[in-house]
Formats: sequence, C-alpha cells, structure tokens
Amino acid sequence: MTTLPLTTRSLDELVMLHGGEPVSVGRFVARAEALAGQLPPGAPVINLCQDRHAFSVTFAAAVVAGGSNLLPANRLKATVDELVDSFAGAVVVADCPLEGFAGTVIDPSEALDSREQAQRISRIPADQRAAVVFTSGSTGRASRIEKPWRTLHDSSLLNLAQLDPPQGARVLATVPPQHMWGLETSVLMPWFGAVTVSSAHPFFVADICRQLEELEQPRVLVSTPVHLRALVESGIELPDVERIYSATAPLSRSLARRLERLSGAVVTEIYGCSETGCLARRQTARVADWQLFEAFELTPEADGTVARAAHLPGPVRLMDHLEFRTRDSFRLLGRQSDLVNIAGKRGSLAELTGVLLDIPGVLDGVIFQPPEDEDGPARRLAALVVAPNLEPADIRRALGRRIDAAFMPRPLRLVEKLPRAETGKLPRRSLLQFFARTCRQAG
Amino acid sequence: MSTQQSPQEHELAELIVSSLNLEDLSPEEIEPDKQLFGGEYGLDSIDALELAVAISKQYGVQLKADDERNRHAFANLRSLNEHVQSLREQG
Repeated sequence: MTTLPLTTRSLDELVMLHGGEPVSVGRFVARAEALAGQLPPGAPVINLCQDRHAFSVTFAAAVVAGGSNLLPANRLKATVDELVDSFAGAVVVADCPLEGFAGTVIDPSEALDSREQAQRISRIPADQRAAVVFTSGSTGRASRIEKPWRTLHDSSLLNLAQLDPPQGARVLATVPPQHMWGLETSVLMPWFGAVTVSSAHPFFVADICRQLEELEQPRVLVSTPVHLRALVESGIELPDVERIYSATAPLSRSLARRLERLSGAVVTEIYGCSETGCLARRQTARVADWQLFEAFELTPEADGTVARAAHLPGPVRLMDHLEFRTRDSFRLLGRQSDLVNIAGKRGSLAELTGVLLDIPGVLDGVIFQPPEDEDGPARRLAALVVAPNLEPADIRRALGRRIDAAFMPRPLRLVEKLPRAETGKLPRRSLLQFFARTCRQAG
Repeated sequence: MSTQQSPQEHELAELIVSSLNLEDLSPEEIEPDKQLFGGEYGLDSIDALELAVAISKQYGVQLKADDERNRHAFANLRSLNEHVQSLREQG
C-alpha cells in the first residue's frame, strides 16, 4: 500500500500563527493526534470548525484517524442533517454551537489547547478518501467531489512550485478554510512548504490591513477580487505585501495594476475549480494568457475542455470556454453560457429561470447575467419578469424560499413582455439591449 | 423605539440604496430597527463589504469586524449609523 506523509515539514518548523501563539509542526500534529483519539476510527467527519486553526487541526485529525472530512457548502441544519443521513457513521466536529442540530457534536477545544509535541509524522494511505467537497448548486442541491490523500498531497506540492511563495512567507487569507481555494492555500500549503499561515479571517479592509501589519515580512495575501477591490477602493494605505494571490472570480487588469502599485506586491491570479484545484496562473497586470500548471493536460473536446492529471481521481470537464495559445497556455473566453458563479457558488441560469417561471402569477420571465462592468461592484444576476398581478416583493419572497441568496436577482424588473423572437427564443443580444433600455427608464 | 429615521439615518439609508443598487427599495423603507443583513432586505456579506467601501468614501471612516461591539454595529440602520457617527467623532 502506498502511503504519503501528513506533512513534509520538520517538527520544529512553524506551520501557523494562532492569535499570538506560534504553532510548530510538532505541536500541530500533537493536537491533531489528540483529537484523532476522540474520533471513531475511519469515520467521516463533518468538519464545521470556523476558526482556521480549529479547522486545520480537525482536518488533519480526521485524516490521521483514517477517515475523511466532509465539507458542506454551508452550516445550515438541513445540510448537516442530510450529510449525517447519507454518510454512515458520520460525526460532527464544531468549534461553536450549531443552531438546531440535534445530533452529537464533538468539541475539539481540549485537543486544540494541547501543549504536547509530536515525535513523528503519520503516513496516510495514498488512496484514503481524505475530503469530500460539496459545492452548492443554484437551488441548493449539492454536487460532491472526492479528494483522496494523494490528490491533496500532490496538488499541494504542485501549487507550491507554481505559486512560488517567498521562503518563510507569512500568509493571511480573507477566504474561509472550507472551500477549495482557502483549503489549498491556507490549510494545506503550510503543511508542504516553508510558509506560515495566520489563523485570522479578516473581512473588512481595516481588519485586513491590521492583520497584515501584525505579520512579519515577507507577507502573502490570499484573497478574492471582491475583497481586493474593496481594499483598493476604500482609500486605505496598504501595508507592504510581497505577493497577492486571487481566485474564485475574474480579476480585472486595472484592479491588478492598482493593487501592484499600492501594495508593491506581485499579483498572481489563479484559475481552477473545486474538481481540479488550482490549474493555471497569470500575472494579470501584465499578461492575458494563462500558464497551465505542469502535471495538467487539457484536451479540447466537442462540448468543452477536459482537464486530466495523474493526481486527480478522473478527468474533469471545465465550465469555461478556452482558446489555446500554445500547448500549455490559453485564454478564457467566458463561462459556458448557462453556468454562473456568484460569490463562489455555482448556479445554472436555466434552473434558476425554471424556479422563477414556477411561481404562480409569473407569465414569462428570465434570470440572466448582465454584461460585466470590469471594475463595478460584485456581480449579481438580473431578472425581467412578466407578472401583471404581482409586485417585485412578492416575486422576491417566492424566489427566496427556493434559491440561494447569492442568486437573488438584483435588479428584478417587471416588464410587459420579453423581446422573444418568433421562434420563442430569447437571443442574448436582444435581451441585453432590452435590459439596457429598462435601466435607463429605471435610472 | 421610534421607527422614524433621523436625518442622519436617512442619509445613511440613501447611501445603502445607491451603493448597493437597491432600485426597488426606497431609503424611507429601511426601518431603523429592522435587521439589515441576512433579513428581508436580501442583503448578504458581500453587500456589507460594498457598503463599507461606500461608507469609507462618504464619511472617511473604516469599518471593522474585529470585536463583538463592531459586529453588533451591523445589526440595523440605527446601530450602523451610531457606529459610523462615533467613528467620525474619534477620527
């Protein structure tokens, strides 16, 4: 049986800064082993810890105990109940109370406070299912992505080589540890390369700047275009940062340039998805072409591009249209038209429009993505609805019961009719022209 | 407690509506004591971030979420306005 180490770092190296406490690899592993002792061997662990330190220790503990981490898209009671029902023997580990959940919750706090030092580092079967990542669909139905330990181990080494953070860097992340981007960078990267991650999870720009200032140099910021735009727009003075990594949504070139000027950082944008992990990179301020990570192979097929890599459990069809420049570089031509990604959540426009049309009183309607304004506020969906006897508030209430808040269309406008062609089709061009006219009327 | 907006609260409500493109909500409709985020106004955490940027531009103050008191500031229009005004006085 092939096994791979839990971490390739030595026991005395620094893996995390937790509040004021420097956490060495030895102490981190000891905490994970202490918590592993509280877990049923091999059990799927629903890891709901919010704090990055608690989440990371729990993640390691589940893996060391021979089990896996189930990472739901949210902490809602219904979501957790469904996981408990569908994974036999699943247990919940949480660092704060779970509203309404009736099952047993394992409290990691004692293990998290352990002052022990581990003397050795566990090896993990390469094929062990280490994590199952759930991405939310537009109507709450989740898709499920399995991550064997080999995948997480190998992609972490690959990411370190490709993202190339400065030796000894202190990493601050504005993203949560549960989602792939945060998991790869702020949980796993410090297990395999000479970087130390802060357990902080700052949100507002003043918090981000203060947390950065508290870190020694060289500093690395892991973030998203939404947070980065807020950083630049708020007019706050940015601390020196060596490297900024952005993912989850497209970063505009002008924003990347302003960030580089204001912070002195090199801004690297990362492309990937939950199924593949990080896949390609570019320095957005300077180049348009994406550089594919070694280890990945992309194949154009009739209905899209397929990504393959030895460390992935199987081939992955990408959600975007790609134009190849060379064998290992490409441009992104946009999402396949039906699929949208809002605030890190994936949705199908056809499915969302279906929910809209199901509302009693709605005669016709469409939910769509308005054209992007490069530096505008975060992207939202829009809706045009024909419903002579309803108010927008009625429609929003009805939608709110069935779709994720991130997909709530804004604006939602009532119109007399949609610009459908004779065939009944709604060509995007005429839809957008029509929408622009309603904007002028509304504005 | 009054559900009438004070002039300062009205000014902040106008900023909320304009900065978040809430075209089917008028500033007067934001009740000072009603939950601002995660409630029936349909505002989420990304809106909070957008609003913080708009507040920094209009009032010259930076919002934080690093302690309990600051997090409570986002509960409703009234508490947010009080928080913004107290930051302005400090600044």
